[in-house]
Amino acid sequence: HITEDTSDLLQHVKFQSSNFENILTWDGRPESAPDTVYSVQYKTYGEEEWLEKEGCQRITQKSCNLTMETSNLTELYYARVTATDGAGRSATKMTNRFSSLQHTSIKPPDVTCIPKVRSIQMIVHPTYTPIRAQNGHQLTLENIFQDLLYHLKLRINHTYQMHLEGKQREFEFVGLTPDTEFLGTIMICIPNLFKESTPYMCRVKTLPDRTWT
Amino acid sequence: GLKTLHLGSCVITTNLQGIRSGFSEIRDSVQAKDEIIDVRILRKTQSLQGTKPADQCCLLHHILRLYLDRVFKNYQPPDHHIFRKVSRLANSLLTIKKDLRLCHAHMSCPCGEEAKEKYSQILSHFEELPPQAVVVKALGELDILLQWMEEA
Repeated sequence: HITEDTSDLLQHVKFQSSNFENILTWDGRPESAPDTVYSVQYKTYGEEEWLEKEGCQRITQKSCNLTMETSNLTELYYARVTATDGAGRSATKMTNRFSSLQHTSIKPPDVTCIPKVRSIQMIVHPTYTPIRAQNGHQLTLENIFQDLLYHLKLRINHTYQMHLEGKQREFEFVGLTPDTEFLGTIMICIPNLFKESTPYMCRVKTLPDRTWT
Repeated sequence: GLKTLHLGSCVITTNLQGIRSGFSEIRDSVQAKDEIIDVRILRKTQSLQGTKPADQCCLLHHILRLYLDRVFKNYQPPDHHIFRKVSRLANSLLTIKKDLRLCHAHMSCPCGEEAKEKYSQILSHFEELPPQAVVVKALGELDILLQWMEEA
């Protein structure tokens, strides 16, 4: 009895997660027939049952949103995809063990940069996640990561940068030259889990100094 | 940096970040070898952070002894890279265990009923599985133990 190799039907089944938005993605055969369909199941590590993801049964696209199904931060998860082509051949592949705490990447923060005459104020807005507390409140990244802090840089010129860092959300770079353009970059850092967001950047010009001298 | 663990009246500092970093390098390949995904040894009902503070030191001390005596000693690494990483992890946990033993010596690591009960449950999960499979599974669950310590 010769079992047919169907591994080409399905590759790279993995979670892509950012700010706790957990998307399962996979690849099919490069020239996979349009009639290839995919079905997704998921399970909690340590439990027996595989659960079918509603809305991702016999689909043709190669991704499925499992954010709600994998939203418990203290749990670890697996997901698997079964691909079936028009000739009835099928293949099933599973992800690695997934922990959204460990695996999620962090998006740039949302920041308002406010120019003044001799300073620039930066206000970092909270980043809400799909994760909800038991009381139903949506959690922010700050709620989830106790050691989260913001790292800010202001490029003064080619050789000189100012740095600020802290857990608060309001920062101000002071002692700047009026009517001058500066480039600010703001990142979220989570030291314990070696996470760092890509930077939010704002180009800002300080106001002209209209005081009579 | 260093993290201070407050386990009841036992206070120790540990490089949890460094241990986590070391484990994250081998996590996927170690966990991929664990084929029994219906079973979990370190379960939420026995978590360190869910244990009353006075019993946390004893519970962690026993879990670390389990890892050092019956996991790291019996683990057969597939290659030299993993061997080196696992050895470093073992040494880090050994350092923590020594600190906990100091607390024990100073009477600040009591073993109450809760610690004994939770550890015996963990041990029974551990002993339900075949020897070589349980070693691989326990090693793959180090991220759970590190998260428990993080949240303790």
